[in-house]
Amino acid sequence: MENDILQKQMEELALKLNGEYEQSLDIPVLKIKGARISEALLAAKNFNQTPCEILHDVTAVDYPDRNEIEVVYHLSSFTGPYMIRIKATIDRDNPVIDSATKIWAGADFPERECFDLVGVQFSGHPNLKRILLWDDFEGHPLRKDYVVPSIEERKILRAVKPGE
Amino acid sequence: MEVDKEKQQAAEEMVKKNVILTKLEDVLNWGRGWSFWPLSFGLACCAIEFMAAGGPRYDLERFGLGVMRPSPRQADLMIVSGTLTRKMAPAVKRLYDQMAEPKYVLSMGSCANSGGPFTDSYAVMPGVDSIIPVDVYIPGCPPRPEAFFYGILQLKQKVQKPAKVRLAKNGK
Amino acid sequence: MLRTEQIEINIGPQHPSTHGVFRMVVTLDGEVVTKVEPRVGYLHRGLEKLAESRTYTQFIPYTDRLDYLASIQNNTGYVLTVEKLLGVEVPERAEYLRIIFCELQRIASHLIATGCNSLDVGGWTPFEFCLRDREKILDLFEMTVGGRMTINMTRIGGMPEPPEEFWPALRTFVNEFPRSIDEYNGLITGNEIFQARCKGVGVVSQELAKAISVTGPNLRATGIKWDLRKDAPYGIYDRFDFDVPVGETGDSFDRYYVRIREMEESLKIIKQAMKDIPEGPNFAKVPKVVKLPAGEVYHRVENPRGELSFYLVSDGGMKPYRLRIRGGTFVNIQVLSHIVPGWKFADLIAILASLDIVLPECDR
Repeated sequence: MENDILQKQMEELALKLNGEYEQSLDIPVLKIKGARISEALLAAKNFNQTPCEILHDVTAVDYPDRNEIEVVYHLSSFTGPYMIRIKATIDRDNPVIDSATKIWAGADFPERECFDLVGVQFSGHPNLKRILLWDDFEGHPLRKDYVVPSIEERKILRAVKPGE
Repeated sequence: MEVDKEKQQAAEEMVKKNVILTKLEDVLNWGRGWSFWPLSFGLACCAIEFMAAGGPRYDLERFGLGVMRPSPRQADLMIVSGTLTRKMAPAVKRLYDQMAEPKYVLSMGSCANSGGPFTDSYAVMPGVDSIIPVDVYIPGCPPRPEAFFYGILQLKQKVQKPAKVRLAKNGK
Repeated sequence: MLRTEQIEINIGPQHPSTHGVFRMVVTLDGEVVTKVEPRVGYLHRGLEKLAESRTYTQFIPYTDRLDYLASIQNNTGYVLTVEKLLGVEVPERAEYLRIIFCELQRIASHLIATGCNSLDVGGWTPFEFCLRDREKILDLFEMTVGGRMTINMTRIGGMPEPPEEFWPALRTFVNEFPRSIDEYNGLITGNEIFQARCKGVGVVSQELAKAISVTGPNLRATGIKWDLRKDAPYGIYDRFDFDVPVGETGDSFDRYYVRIREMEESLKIIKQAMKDIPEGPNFAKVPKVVKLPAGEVYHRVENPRGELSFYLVSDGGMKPYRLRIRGGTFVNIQVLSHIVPGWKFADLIAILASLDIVLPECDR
């Protein structure tokens, strides 16, 4: 019953935001363009009867053949077992998207990780720095065209930036 | 005359029983080998096996490693247990440099030996011996506490009988 | 008036109380903490990139090393994700075995959490007691697959069969463990010093927990009754009868006490599973080389530290196109910068110990 209400609301949201709706196994998925992500997240957080008030995860997937990066948000709730997925596509050469930290404070670390490993710029993020890798690291490892350095290169001790 | 000779003999017997003549270096090595002070430094999963080795079933204190020092200035054994990432490497080098001589390094687990299962990752240092000299390598993922004790005993032998270990390694 | 200044100090990454390579930059005004900035990444091993060059079966041992205190549950979470996309139906006996081993692993993980909590607050003895009990559980694991800590037990399609001597040993453990819980209650829970150091310290409110997406025992300590095993059950958890312990105020003492009560509930689940486990095969028919159909799947499991979830994107081959691992610790750690300011320096250590962080789950 919950799932039907949720599906209907997702379909309406897809129409409103000019996106696509599909069902992936047991999770309703909404695909939109990156520019409308804040509206989508706020609308999903305030769904009637099935609000998705918890941001479960933020991640990014690189699709070089489509020249796109997909930023994937998973939302869940503490009032029911349902989950939804919102995929926002952004351009691979200029990956900018609005940050979700204004809506959820817990988007801080996952967004920093997306910036660090995939290179997505989150506009409006209070502290967009590298988090898992060191500040002077070059490149974004989870991109498909990243070349892993050889063993000899990795054996060299890195120089520590002052103030790290 | 007779009494003096008896007394001298008795004194010689006492000396034979209670006094050992040896080199200072050997005595110091004997002491160092029996009481390592490990630096409490655990990186990843192997650190939990190290903690279990220190627990009640596999007691680490009977080998002399009971005093774990948190500060590198007071420790003489660094047990690198876990994966060494490239981000952490300068910190490990700095800790090693802060320790006073004589100091020993034990590389515990396959990640510290050579990178382990993560050896082809962009963020992992392939082995701790890229940055600091290692005395004993303990293989395993993670090594059982018994394997860890074997490594400690090998290190003890290396410290207490350096000539014997050199002979076994280099043939002279 | 004296001119005073705030001092910024660095804790970690090598520190006896930080539970691993965790670094914090703390700003102090005398003894009172005014700002805490957690710095993570010192154990980042690039697991998500490694997954793209390993087959699905080859990646199962890597999930062990994610949260090394909850290996079987990480394995199970990953395997359930793969099985969901593959569409494999796992036989009943394997499901019951998964439940038994997952709950045993939960008890082992909470034992370390309790022991380290007491250790950081100053009591050495309960830590040794917890290690003693944990060794009994590790014996059971060793009997079945040979590994003590990083176990690599769950397989795509089933579970390995424990030997004959496993069941009497499990019965002995289940009958003896309640006595140990009474010992912990006497040593730690009723201890005046522990209560004074932990009651009312580091309160996480329900609004903060929802904003940060805290999960696991840290969430249940705030009063929100949410446990995936009851509210969004996976496997056959819906057949078992157990309670979900909740705290009242969300302080450090509640976080500790929820874990003690969860151990009792896990024991209940194990007893029921031991009684109801059917005979039968423990492996489904799965091809030797696992090839997933193209598509994506998301699955989450209840780990001792929060919700561990896997997002798998497959392009139809033998290796994943993208595997995303969301660990409970990575998200829970953000709570530190909100709840610590205002407390003293020693309380920072007590709060960190009660949050029960494990760094590989945070850094992957």
